[in-house]
Amino acid sequence: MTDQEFDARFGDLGPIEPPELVVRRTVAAYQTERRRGAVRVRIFAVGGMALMAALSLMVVSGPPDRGDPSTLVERGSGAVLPGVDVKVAVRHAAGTTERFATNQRYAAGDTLMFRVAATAPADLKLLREGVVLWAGHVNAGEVDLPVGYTLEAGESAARFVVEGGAESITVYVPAVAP
Amino acid sequence: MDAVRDGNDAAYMTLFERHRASLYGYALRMTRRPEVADDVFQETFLRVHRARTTWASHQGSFRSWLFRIATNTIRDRARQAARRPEVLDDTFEPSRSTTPSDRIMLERALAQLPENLRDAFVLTAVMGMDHNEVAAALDITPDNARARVSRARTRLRELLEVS
Repeated sequence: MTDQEFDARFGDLGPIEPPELVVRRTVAAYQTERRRGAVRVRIFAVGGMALMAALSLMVVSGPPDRGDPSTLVERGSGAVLPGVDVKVAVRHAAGTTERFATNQRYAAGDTLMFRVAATAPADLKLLREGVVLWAGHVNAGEVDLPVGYTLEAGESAARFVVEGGAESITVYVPAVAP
Repeated sequence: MDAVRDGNDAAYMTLFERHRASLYGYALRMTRRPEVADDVFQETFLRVHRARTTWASHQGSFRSWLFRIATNTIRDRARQAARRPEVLDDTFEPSRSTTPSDRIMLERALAQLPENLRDAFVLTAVMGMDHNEVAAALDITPDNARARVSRARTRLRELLEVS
């Protein structure tokens, strides 16, 4: 296989669409920053006058009180949490599929498959022992997650968790100055 | 990009729509953690907005500038986390012409590359950049970009033969 043909295999992987919620959040953050920039320009424009007024009045204001609710930054839209139901099936290496049962031992090569039903659009994460196996956005209704978990020989018991919310709320804290 | 530099919202959104999927694909393949890729994606586009007045066409294409910002954002996040991403997610959706198992195998192989080979190879083979664009995006020379891609390809061939 030539280098070009080899690279083309990877080229087929292609771009990956970001989750819709991430797109909305990014656009909202951009718009917030744009508005803040516009306000900053106005502040600079009247800054001189405001400074003179402040000096003439000799008004000295202290820092805001700790715990003042007005200083808290709100993230998230306050949307109602969606209800999420999860169903698990097992696909055996032979190709047959059956309902998952907790009182049964499964073999290496069997694959767990997950179907979720959400009452409203939701951002979900599927975790195994705290490690994210899949994260993404689902619409209301029933959908099979595009990920399976194939059991390996000697694997110990593990807890799978589906976490969900109407939206992921991110608080980004930039690097701290040294 | 000139319109973006002048603060044109519509132009910014056009660039956002045009590059969002390739940028997210790059972030996800480099970080291998969806929640980190989400943050890198958002932070990169905000940095583009903040730095828009510093962009100049003679520095290269907008795409290479965008991916340079993304690469720096990913490195910043790795430094903040004080460790390298370790988790491989088989979460990518099937592509047009590869079967899911092929896709997972290729993604797994990519994930095993060292970061300084993976970034160059992903930008070249997956995103379709030429060596000059990759060099601009990673702040290295075109010769260095070519060498990294070549080493990545050799390593990937070995990995795929083993699997």
